[in-house]
Amino acid sequence: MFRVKIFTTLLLLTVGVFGVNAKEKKPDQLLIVQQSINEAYKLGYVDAAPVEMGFIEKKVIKARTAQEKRKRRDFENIIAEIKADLKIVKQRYKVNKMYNKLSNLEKANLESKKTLENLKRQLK
Amino acid sequence: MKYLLAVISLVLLSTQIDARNSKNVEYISLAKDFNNLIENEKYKPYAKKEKLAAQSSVNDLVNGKVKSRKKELALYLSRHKIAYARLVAEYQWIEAQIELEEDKAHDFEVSISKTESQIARHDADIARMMLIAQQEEAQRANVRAQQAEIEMQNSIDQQARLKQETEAAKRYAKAQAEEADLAKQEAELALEEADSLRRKLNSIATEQTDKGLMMTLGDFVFDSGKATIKKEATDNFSKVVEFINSYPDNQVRIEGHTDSSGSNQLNLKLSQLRADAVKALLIQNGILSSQIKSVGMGEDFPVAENTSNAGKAKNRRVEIIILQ
Repeated sequence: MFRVKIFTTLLLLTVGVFGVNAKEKKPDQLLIVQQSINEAYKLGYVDAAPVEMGFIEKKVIKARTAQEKRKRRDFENIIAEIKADLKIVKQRYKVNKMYNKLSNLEKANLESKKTLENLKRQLK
Repeated sequence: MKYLLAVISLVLLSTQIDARNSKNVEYISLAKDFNNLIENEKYKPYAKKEKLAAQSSVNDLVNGKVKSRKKELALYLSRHKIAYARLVAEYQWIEAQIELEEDKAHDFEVSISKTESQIARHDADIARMMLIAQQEEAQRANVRAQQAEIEMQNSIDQQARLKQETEAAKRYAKAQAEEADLAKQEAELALEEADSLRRKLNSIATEQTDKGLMMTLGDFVFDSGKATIKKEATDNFSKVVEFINSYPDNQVRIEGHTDSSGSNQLNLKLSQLRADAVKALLIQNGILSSQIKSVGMGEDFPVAENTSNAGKAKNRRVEIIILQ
């Protein structure tokens, strides 16, 4: 019976050790977020939301600190916030881009309208 | 409507929570934010999926489905979902506006193209009309030039005619003047001749011959080479008539003589005709025909040599003889 207990204990310890190891093999969220931030800079999202990008950078520092202090919950919350912030930044960037397109079209149409009016005046 | 009910319930629920709880304020703020989004007319047709996600997130939070330790994060994420839904709605609204503007751009493009075509046609019409007008003007100018040329030619012709007429008139006047001069000269000559003839006739002398008392008329009495007596001589024949009338009881013999020019026969005939002419004139002046006898003597009884003009002139004569 004692042997069984020892075996069971060792088994649980083994499973526990492997379980911990398996958990550690999850993707590095901070790295993923950092890659997303780098990409956002590369794509010019910072122009659309410079303030937000500043907040995100600060949050990355906080996340790194939480990670270092092994405050897993804080770390996960910050990472979730950063992801949400990045989503907003990306969408703002897209909106701005579309605004530019719309603005250009409106300007072009305004010019076209003037051109058409001038042409119609020529006809009179 | 679905959104509205959710918001109302959210607000009511929120108001039921203890005001002292600071989370209530956050929830009310969140509810207002969500309400603003769904009530915004501009965004109503857009971002439906994102709105539902935001609504679900807010509902979970308000309905207490979120664990208390995760509420703070859930609140943050709910705000983000609302903001994201707003941005997506804005994006889709812009897309719709872009579509409208693109349609407008297309309409403008078509209208501009049509108008440019109309202008091109209009310009072409104007150019064509101007060309026609220019051609017509050129034709009118050509006609005017031709008319001017014709008028100039007419003027030149008229001037030439006038010049010709003037010259003709001058010539005519000159000719008339010359004619008048000639007529005057002729008249003067005739006058002189008549005067000369009259003087000659008045100076005709009578002489006693073997045949009787004789008066000789020179050839000046007759037209040259003819048997007609000159009018001036006729008018001044009174001395001859007086001479004959002085001898009313005597016969009168009128003899015609010529020079030796021409044939004898012709001279005989001419001398007879001249003698007859004198006889006729005397009868015309009242001398009885029975008293007069006319004879042509020809060239056979010259009174001078026929070798000179003076001699010949003397031989051409008519002798009026009062027979004894």
